[in-house]
Amino acid sequence: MLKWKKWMSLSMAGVVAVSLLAGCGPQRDGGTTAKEGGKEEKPKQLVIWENKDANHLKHTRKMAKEYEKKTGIQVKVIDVDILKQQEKLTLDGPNGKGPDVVTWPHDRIGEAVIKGLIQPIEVEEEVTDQYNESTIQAMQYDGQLYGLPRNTESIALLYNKALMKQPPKTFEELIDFAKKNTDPAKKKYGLLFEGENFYYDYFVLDAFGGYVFKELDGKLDPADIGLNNSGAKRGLQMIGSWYEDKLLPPGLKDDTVNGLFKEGKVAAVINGPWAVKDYRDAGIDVGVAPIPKLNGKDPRTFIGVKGLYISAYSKNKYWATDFLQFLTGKEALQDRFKTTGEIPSRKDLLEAPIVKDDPLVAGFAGQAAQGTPMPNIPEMGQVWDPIANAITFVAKGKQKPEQALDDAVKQIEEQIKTQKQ
Amino acid sequence: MKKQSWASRIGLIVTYLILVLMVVVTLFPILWIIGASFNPGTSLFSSSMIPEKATVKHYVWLFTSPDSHYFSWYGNTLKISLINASLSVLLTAGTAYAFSRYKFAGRKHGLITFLLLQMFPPTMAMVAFYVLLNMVNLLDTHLGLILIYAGTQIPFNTWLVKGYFDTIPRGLDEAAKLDGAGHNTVFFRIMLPLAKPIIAVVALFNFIMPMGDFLLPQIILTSPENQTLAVGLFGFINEQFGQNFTRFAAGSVLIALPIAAFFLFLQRYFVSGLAAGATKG
Amino acid sequence: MRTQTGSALSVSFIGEGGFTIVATDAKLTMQPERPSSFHRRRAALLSILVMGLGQIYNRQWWKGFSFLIAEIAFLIASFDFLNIGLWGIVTLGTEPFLDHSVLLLAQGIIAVILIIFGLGFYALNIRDAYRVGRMRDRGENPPTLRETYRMITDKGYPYLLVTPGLILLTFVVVFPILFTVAIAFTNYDLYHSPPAKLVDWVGFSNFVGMFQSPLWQNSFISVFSWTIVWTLVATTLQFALGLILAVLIHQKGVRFKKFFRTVLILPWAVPSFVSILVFSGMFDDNFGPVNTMLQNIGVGEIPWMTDPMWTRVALLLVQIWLGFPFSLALCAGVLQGISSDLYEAAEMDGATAFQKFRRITLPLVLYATAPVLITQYAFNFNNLNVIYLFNQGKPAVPGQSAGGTDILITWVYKLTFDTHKYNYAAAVTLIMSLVLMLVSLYQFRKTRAFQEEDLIQ
Repeated sequence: MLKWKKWMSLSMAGVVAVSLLAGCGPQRDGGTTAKEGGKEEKPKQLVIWENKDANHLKHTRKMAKEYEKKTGIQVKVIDVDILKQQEKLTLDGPNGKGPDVVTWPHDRIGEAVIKGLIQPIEVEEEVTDQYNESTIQAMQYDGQLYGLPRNTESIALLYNKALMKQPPKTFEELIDFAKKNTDPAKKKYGLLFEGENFYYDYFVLDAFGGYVFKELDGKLDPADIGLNNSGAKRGLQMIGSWYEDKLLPPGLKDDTVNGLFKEGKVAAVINGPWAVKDYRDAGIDVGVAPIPKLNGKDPRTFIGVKGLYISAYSKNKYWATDFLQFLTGKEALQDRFKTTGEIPSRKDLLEAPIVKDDPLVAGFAGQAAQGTPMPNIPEMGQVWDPIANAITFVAKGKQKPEQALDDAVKQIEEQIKTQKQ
Repeated sequence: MKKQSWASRIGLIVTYLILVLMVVVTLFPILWIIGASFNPGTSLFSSSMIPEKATVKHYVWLFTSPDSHYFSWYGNTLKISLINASLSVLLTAGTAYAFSRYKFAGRKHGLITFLLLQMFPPTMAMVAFYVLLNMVNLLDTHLGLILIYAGTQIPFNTWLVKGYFDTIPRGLDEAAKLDGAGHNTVFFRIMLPLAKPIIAVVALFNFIMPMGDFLLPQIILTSPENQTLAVGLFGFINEQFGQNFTRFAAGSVLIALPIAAFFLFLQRYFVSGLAAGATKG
Repeated sequence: MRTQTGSALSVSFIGEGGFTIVATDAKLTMQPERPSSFHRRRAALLSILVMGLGQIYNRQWWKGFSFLIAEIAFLIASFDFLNIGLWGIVTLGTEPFLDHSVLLLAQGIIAVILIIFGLGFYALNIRDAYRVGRMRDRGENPPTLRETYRMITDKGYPYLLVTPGLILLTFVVVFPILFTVAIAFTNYDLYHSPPAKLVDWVGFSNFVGMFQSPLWQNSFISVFSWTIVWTLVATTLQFALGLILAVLIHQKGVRFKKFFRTVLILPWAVPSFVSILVFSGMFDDNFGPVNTMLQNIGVGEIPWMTDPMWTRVALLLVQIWLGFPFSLALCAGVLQGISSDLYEAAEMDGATAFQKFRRITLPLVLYATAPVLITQYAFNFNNLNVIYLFNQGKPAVPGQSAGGTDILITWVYKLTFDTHKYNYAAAVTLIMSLVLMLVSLYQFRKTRAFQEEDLIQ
């Protein structure tokens, strides 16, 4: 009895093994399938993934209808969280369920290109000239253009007009103001921001000469990290002093910053445009201004550029590119600005009165114009946490800035090494 | 004699103190989130348990705003939860009954295997599920999702139910068999009703399961109208910018309602089962 | 005989050769003295050749034809799928972009599973043909359709019960595990990601390379020790609390039993991610209600989220809150089942309440719940959700890549997914799971759950 079982399983294993070798694979015609081949046929439908946000969707659905009117191509808008699109495309794309057009912040372009998820786009120079230079720069990876920019995002100084009449001219003045107007016991603060998040702090390190990756001929060199040079250390020292002077409480979260500001207990915060609506709903008279000069220079904040890209699985590259241009055209972005309040990437709109004369927007737009795009190479993924931790250690007085940054950069380097291993 | 009753009275007082304390600890977070859901504004920070200016605007938004899919999510989730609970109970009870009462090939090793399978977190499971459902054309369907839920719960719950079946005296079903009852009759008419308490537990588990899963539906359900509550809820609080804690709170309160209802409904069975156990003792 | 068929193995379809041996072998060992083995041999051989043929030979027309149709349908329906899948799992694709290695790998594993199922059925078919043939050899009539049906629903009843669950389990639980294991032996990472690049088999090199990465070295000991503490303390306390409450409620003379039981089981009814996120807000250092309350009663603020020690305490409290209701429900059930005679006898002997608990309740409850308890330890060992949702493993600790509350699994996920080293993620999971399985298995053997098993039938 035992033997017969043994033989049975042995022979089964044998069959599986043999059939593994026997699988002879797909029949391919040989020769490359015509991926290029002149102008492609006009598709019946284009599919776009838009961020899961009511206003974003409203705008894009409206534009989809207009595009259909213009070209006869139906556009299907599907909502997919902007930060989930890449992951989803890796699964949906190869199964033929993917879209033609996707969108995500530009700092994830590098990863997408390495994985082969999006394809380079070809447009005339007169098209790219229409956009703000830094936004086009953000859309490039390894010297090639991978998308068209739609909106820019930057943090700026938001202040409660009841508590701060005029935004200060320099950051030093701002800190002085904060020192006079902060009383943690009464939960009263002069200046608050999410200080333990590197995104909000970059401009301070940058102002003294810190940088993330060295830029050479439009390419970033991940081997040259400038986050523990003397400038960066001086910057972090300054941030640390704000914690030491009890201007900022450690462990501060986004939610708390907003909550306190809405209660009218904070004179100024550093935050993004996404916060404004909520502040106004709470009855605060909000003013927006570029961040005051730090170390004698206009602070260069990180800017995020939301772009539109063409999926590598799309068979309608020509029309998708056309659609991209339509969505980033003047009319479309103007409508988007009205619907979502996002700052357009186009030069002509940035100069238009609708943007320029809106006091709330102008502050962000001005700051965005002087900002620098977040690095879009995948090595950037290894930077955020270690640096944020370094800031936390300094904020809590556990480490000196020098030590903290040296440790962090060492960890970043190790992680990058592992990533490439 | 008197002394003893005195001691037991103190014991009883201590018991009540502990129990009441635990009730407070248990209820506090729940009451707190109910309070938060009636707060104006969006942030967790400014929420208080008893809001000064209570508002139902978050609830109104969830159900009436054209931007909210909450209504259809609610329906989807209830549907998935109910079907999953029934299917899982059937699968698990069948499997567990076989393991408890019959001898068959692979019985002993099967049980250990069940135990060990739970120890392996399938790190890459999301991709695997996607491929699997794509293959049988069940992507973006609730059935696909339910099949995965019903399958993954088998190992753990089989153990539970099997353990319960083991405590039911074998004399009961053997007597029925002697009286000429078939396998099906014994299983459905005798064993299942006796196992009501544990069946209720398994049903509750599987009813809650889809309500707490915010990962899998994101991968499997592509159309927004097919989504489930947990995904939507998690979105309220996980958005990188602009978290909406109070809306999340309102959504959570609403999610807890069907669970509480289901729970109280099953409570009947818990109690009847326990009573049966008590008379047996 | 054996060498002959053995050589047939290498020539033709392997299964056929194998089963020839099986049939002959069975004959030799089982009934060597019976001369007439004509039908059973021929039926089995025919069934090896084509599924159902042996049954048809045995004049079981219905069975035979349905087997035949099943085989043909299986081959027609899945030939392409199996072909591509098997080719895919071996090569992982040959042309970037056209071939998606990861999807091919998954398809390949499914193909292998399907083939194993198919072969299992095939083996049953052969055995069946052989058995019916044997009946005929003995001069009995082959079972009619009705008799066959009876056989299946009677002798086969446990199989009927188990099969649907088993099939689902294979695809939904086993397949993802196999897939993860397979990934551990590939080079799947950011720079080898489809569609741009193909993924390749790399043997054990991940297991070597992984340990060479400097990342692990500075935090392993602290993470590992916290993982052990977390697993033991959280699980033990959540169980102990559930048990104590169950005993308290179960006491004679306690009123409102139903009320207490219902309310105390309530945390179970809230989806855990909701509870964890709510707790994460409640324990907020600066403005959370817990600290506000502590301040009001004069204790002062506690750095729940920013001090590693306090975050660990908070996490343990949260996990106990989440976990005790299940233990309570479980123990309450067991307590109901314990005969009151035991306690009465103990009281006669003058046992105190504590002695009764120690000598009667505890052993019986542990005995009944041991398997579930072991599962709970394993569950907390891998309890990614609570650690991640509560504070993402933070607060950060100087000089190490792991956060102060990271347990092994959250740390591994953080490192490997942040760096897109899916291959390492899979490899570490594999090692961790094997260790966990061994430990659990050992514990399991120690408990008496399996001895008790043998009492049945």
